[in-house]
Amino acid sequence: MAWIPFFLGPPPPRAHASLDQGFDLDLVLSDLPPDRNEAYDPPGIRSGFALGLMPELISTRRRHPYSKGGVTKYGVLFGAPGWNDPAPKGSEISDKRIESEIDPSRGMAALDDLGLQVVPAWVSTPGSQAVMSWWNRVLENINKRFDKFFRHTSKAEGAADLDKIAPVSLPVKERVARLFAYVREKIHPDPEARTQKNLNRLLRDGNGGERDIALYLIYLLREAHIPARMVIALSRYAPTFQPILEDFRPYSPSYMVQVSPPGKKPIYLMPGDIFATVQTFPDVYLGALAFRQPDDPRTPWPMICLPKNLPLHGTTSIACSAALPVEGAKTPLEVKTTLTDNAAYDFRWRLGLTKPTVKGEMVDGKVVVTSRGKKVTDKWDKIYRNWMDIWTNIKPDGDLPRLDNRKDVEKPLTFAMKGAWNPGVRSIGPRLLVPAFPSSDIFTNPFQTDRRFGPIWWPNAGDYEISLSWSIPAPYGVRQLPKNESVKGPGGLFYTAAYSYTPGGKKGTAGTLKADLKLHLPPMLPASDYEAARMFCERLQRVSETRFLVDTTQPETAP
Amino acid sequence: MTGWIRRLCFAAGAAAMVLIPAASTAAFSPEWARPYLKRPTPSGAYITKKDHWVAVYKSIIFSTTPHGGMAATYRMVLAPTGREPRRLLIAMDYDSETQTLENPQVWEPGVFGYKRINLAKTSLDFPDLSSDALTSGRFRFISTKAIAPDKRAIVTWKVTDRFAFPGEMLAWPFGMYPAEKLVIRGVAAGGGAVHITYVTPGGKGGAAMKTGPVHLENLPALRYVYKWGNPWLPSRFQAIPFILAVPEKAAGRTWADVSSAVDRIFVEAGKDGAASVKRKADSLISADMGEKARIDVLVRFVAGLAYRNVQWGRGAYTPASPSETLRSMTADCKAKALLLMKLLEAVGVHSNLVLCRVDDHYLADFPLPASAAFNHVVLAVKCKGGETLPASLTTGPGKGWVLVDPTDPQAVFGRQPMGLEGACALWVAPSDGAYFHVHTRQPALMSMDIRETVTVRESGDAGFSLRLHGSADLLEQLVSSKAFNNKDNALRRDCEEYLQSAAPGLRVERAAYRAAPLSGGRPSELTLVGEIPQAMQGVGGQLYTMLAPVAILGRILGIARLGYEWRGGADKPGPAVTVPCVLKPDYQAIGVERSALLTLVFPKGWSVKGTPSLNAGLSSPWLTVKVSGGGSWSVKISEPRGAFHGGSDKKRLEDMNRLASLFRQPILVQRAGGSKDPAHAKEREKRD
Repeated sequence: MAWIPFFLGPPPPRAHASLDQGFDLDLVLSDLPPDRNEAYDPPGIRSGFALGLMPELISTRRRHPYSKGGVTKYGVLFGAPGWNDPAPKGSEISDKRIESEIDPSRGMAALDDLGLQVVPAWVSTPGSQAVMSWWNRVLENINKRFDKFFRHTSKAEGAADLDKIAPVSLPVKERVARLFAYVREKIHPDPEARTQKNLNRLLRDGNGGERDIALYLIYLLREAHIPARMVIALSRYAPTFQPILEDFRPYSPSYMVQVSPPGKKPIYLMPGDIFATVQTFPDVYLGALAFRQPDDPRTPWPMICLPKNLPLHGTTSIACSAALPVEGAKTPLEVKTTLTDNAAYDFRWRLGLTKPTVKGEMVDGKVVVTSRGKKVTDKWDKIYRNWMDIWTNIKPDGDLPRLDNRKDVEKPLTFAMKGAWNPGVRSIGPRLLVPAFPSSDIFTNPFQTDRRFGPIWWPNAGDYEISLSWSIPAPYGVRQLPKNESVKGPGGLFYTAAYSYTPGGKKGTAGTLKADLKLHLPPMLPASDYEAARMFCERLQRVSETRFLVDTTQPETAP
Repeated sequence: MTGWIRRLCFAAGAAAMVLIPAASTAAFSPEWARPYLKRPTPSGAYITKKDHWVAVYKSIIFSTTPHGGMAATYRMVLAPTGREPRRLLIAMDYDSETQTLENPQVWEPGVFGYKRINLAKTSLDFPDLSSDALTSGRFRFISTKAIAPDKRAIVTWKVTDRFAFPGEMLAWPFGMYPAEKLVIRGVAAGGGAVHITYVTPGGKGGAAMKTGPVHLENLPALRYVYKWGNPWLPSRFQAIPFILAVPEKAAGRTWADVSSAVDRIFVEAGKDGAASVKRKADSLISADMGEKARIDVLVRFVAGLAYRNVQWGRGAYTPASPSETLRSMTADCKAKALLLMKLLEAVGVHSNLVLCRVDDHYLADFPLPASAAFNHVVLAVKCKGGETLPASLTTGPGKGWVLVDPTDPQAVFGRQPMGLEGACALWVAPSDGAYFHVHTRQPALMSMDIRETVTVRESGDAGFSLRLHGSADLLEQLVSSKAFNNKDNALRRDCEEYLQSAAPGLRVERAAYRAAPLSGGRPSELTLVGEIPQAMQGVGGQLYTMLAPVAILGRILGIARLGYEWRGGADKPGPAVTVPCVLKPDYQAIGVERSALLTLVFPKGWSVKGTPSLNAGLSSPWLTVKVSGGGSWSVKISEPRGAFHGGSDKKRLEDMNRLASLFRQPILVQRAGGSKDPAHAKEREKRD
C-alpha cells in the first residue's frame, strides 16, 4: 500500500519535492518559521503546514477520480490539477519521477488574512471537474432527493394555510421567524432520525433529521414566495476543505437554509439543529466555505464563502450577588447565568444530547443510574463546576443544576449556582476595600507577545454582561465610586464598566453597590489589529481589578 | 503412493478434529495457569469500575543467576471485569542496559483452547518516559484481541540481571491491574537460594520487615493507592509496601557492604586516564592559587560540563571513565562526581563519593541496606577551613567535609547543594562506608529574593526596577528557554511576556543577567527595568489602588495568581486497600524560602493608605509568612523541607490560597489634594 502525500492546508513556502510512481517522497522545506503557538489562533491543522498521507487503498477501492482521465494523484502535492501541474500523464507515469518546486499560490487550499479558506480559484478551471467529481455526484443526489422529497406533499400546507401561519402583511423577517417556529413545532429535530423518503412521511412521523427539516422549511418558504435554498456550510474550525478527502464528516457540515428576501441581506437558518433558534448562527460558520444549492438543478453546486460579518445574536449574562463579609471572611456568592440564542445554543450542545438519567434502570423498585448514566451525570457536573470556575474561580456548593437542555430551546437558558467566596475584603482605617468583580481568569489579557503573525480567532465571540451586586448592611455606606469607563477596540471590540450605589432605606435595610461590565468580543480580527486588541485586553484586565471603598459609617451623601 | 499419503493425512486430520474440541479449554496453556482458568471472575471493593481487567493470579518468582545477579519471573492470569469483550494491554517493565527481557509470552483464547500469540505482530518496545531523568528503562507493550468475559489471558515474562551489581531486585505488590491473589517467592538456581524481605511502611516505629515468601490478596491497582498528583506524598518506599530480593548469601549484608560494592565500581571506572586528568587539572589551576580557589575552579569546570541526565540506578551504575568524560565533555552525575574526585586528587585534595537521593517525593529513611535507596551521586571534599563553610557536613563519617554537587550547573564550592538537606545518604568507602542523613552547617533551601522599586508619576504610570536573585521560576524558565544568549532581545522579551499577566501592558526596557561568579559570594542575578502604564485604578476622589507592583512580586515568587486547586485526587474515596500503606500527605520535599521587598516612591504629597496583609492567620506551622507594610512593603515566606506535623492537605491548601490572595491585594494610595486627574497629568507629561 502506498501513501499519497498532500498538504492539508496551504503549502509552505520554499518547498521542493521529488516523487516517484511508488510515492517515494523527498520533501525539502527551507527556512520554515517556528511554530508560534499564538493565543487564540486558528487551529494548527488549518494554518500549519500539515502534510497529509492518504492511503492509496481508498482510491483504488472507489476508483479515485485522480486515477483516471490523465490526471494523476501526483498532482495534489504540487498543486491543484488543472493548473498546469507538472505531473506526468498517461504512459509517462510508470517511469518518470516528478521533481519540482511547490508553488504556494497554486495550492489546493488558500487562506485569507483572517485565516478563512477562500473559494479555491482552481474550482473554475476545467481540470477541477475530475477532482470534484465525487462531491458533485453527492450534491447532485441531494438535488434528486429534492424532487423525490417534494413529490408527495399532499399532507403539507398550502398557500391558504401559509397565509394564516405567516400573513403576507407582516414584514419578511417576521414571516420567516413564524415559519421557522411552525416547522420546529410540527417536526421535532432528532439527530438520530432516519432520512425520510418524502415530505408526507416526515409529517406523519413528526420527527426528522437535520436535512429533512431544512427541506421542509425550504418548501414552506417557497410556498410563501420567499426565496430559499439549502447551504451546506463547512466549519471554519475543521480542516481546510480538500476535495481529496471524499467525506463530509471531517468538515463538520451544517445544513442551513439561506433565505434571500429581495433587496435584503440573506438570513441563514438552522431549522434542523435541535438546539438552534431562529436567531442562532454559530460563529464557527462565519466566513466558512459552503456549497450552495444551484438555481438550476442540472448545474453543480457552487462553492461560496458565507459572510464574515453576519450579526451574532446571543448574550452571556453572569449576575453575581453577595452580602459584604467582614475582613478576610467568606461570603456566599450567588451566580445567576442567563444565556440567549448563540450563547444558549453553545451551552446546550456542551451538555450534549444525553440526559444524566436516561440510562437509569429499576433495581429492587428503585431507579439506579447505570454506569453510562453516571458518566453523563459526571460530565454535566464537570461542565457546571467548570462554568463556575471560569467566571468566579470558586467551587459551587450544594446541588448542581439539572435542567433539561432540550426543553424550551427558544427561551433563554437560565440557571443559578452558589459557592463560598473569599473576596479578600480588607479594612483600611474606617473603610473597607472590596473587589468590584469576581476573580476570574477570563479577564486576563491573553496577548502577551509584542508581535503577532496570525489572525485572532476569539473563542466564544459575542456579548457578555457581567455584574456583581454587593449588599451593603447598615450603617455602612459608599461615599465615592470609581469612574465609569467605556472603551472601544477594532472589529467591534468594546466594553463599558459602570458602577452604581443605591443606599439602603431609613429602616436599616441594606444598600446595593453594583458593578456592571458589558463586553463584546468579535469572532475574528486580522493580525494587523493585534496591537489595538492587545491594548484593549490590557485595559480590560485593569478594569477587572477595580475596587470599591465602603465606609463603615453611614456617609451623609451618596455618590 | 500419493493416495496413501492423502488418506493418511485425512485420517490424522479427522482424529484431530474429533480430539481437539474434546480437550479442555486448558489445552496449550501453561501448566501453572490451568488451576486459575476456570475460577470465577473476582469481585470486591478493591476493584473499581475503571479496572477493566483483574489478575486472578499473579506471581513473582525470584531466582539468582550464576554470576551473582538476580532474575524475576512474572506470571499472571487475567480476567476481564465487564460484560463485554475487552482487549488486554500489558506493559513489561525492564531495564535495557542492565537487564534482559526473556521469553515474554501471552496466551489468549483460541478456537481449541488457548493459543500463544505472535508477539512480533502485537508488541512494541517503548522507552520509559515517566521520569524527568533519562533512563534505560523500557516497556514492552503487548495487546491481545478482545477477550470474552468468561475467558482469560495468560501472561509471563522474565527479567534477568546482566551483571552481579547491584545483586538485588525490587518489586511492588501493586500493579497496573488489581490482583485477587499475589504470590512472591524465591527459588534456588545457579547462584544459590534467594532471600526475600517484605517491607511494610511503618508509623512512628519505622517500617516493619518480614522475610520469606509473600502471599497477598485483594490488591487494588497502583494508581488508586499511590496518587502521583499529590505533591506532598512521601516517597513510594515510605508509603506503600515493597519487596527486596537478594541472594541468600547477601542476606545479612550491611550498609558498609553496599558501600564497598559501589566503591569497587568507581575504583574500576576511575583507573583509566590518570595522565589526561593530571594534564587537565594543571591547565586549570595556577601555582599561586590557594586550596579553596583550586577546588572552586575545578568544581566550576566539572559543573560546566554538559549534563546527560542519567540518574544512579536503572542501567546507570557504572560511571564513564574520567578520560572519556574529558573527551566527550558531557557527563551524568556519576561521571561528574568521579571526574571531580580525580581532578581534586591530582591537585592533592581529598574527596569522597556520597550516594544520596533527590526526589520530588520526600524519603526520610530507607529501612534496609540496598543501593535502590539512592538515585544521585555527589562529592564531599576535605579542605582546610571547610568546616566553617555553609555546605560543611555536620553528620556522618564526613563531618566537617564540604558537600559539592557538580551536577548543578551553578554549583559554587562552599554553597549548599539544593534538595539534599535531610536526605538519606551513603558514604562510599572500601570498608568503612556508612549510611547517614545529610545535614549541613547551614541547611540549603530553594531561595529567592526580590528587591523592587516602583516610582509612581503624576500621570498614574510607573517606572519599576527589579533585582532578583536565587532560584525563581523565572530564572529557571529563562535558562531553559536559552534566552541568556540575548539574541534578538530574547531575554528582555521573555521577561516582559512572563510579567504581562501580572501587570497588563508592562514593558521591560532593560534586562540583564549576571551569572554567579566563579569565586562564589553571590548567586545569579537578574535585573529588570521597565514601565507599568496606568498602574493606578481610581476608587473615587483622590484614592487609588495599585495592584501591579504586588502582582509582579507574586508572579516572580511563583505564587499562583488565582490560587491553588487540589489535584491529588484525595477527594474521592478510593478502593479498599487491604495491605498497610502510609499515604498521608505529610512531607515537603524541597524547602523554599522566598522574600521580597517593595519600595514605593510617590510624587510629593502622596501617601500610602494601605498595603496588602494576611487577613487571617495560617492554620499550620509548615508555612510562615511575615508581612510588614508602610512606605516599603516586605514579605517573607518559608516552607521548610521535611515532615510536618499537625496539618492536613486541606489546611495546607487553605494556607496556600491565603498566601495567593495576599498577592491579589492592591496598595491603596491617596493623591495630594491639589493633584490633577491622571489623564490631565499624562497630557502634561507628554507635552513636557
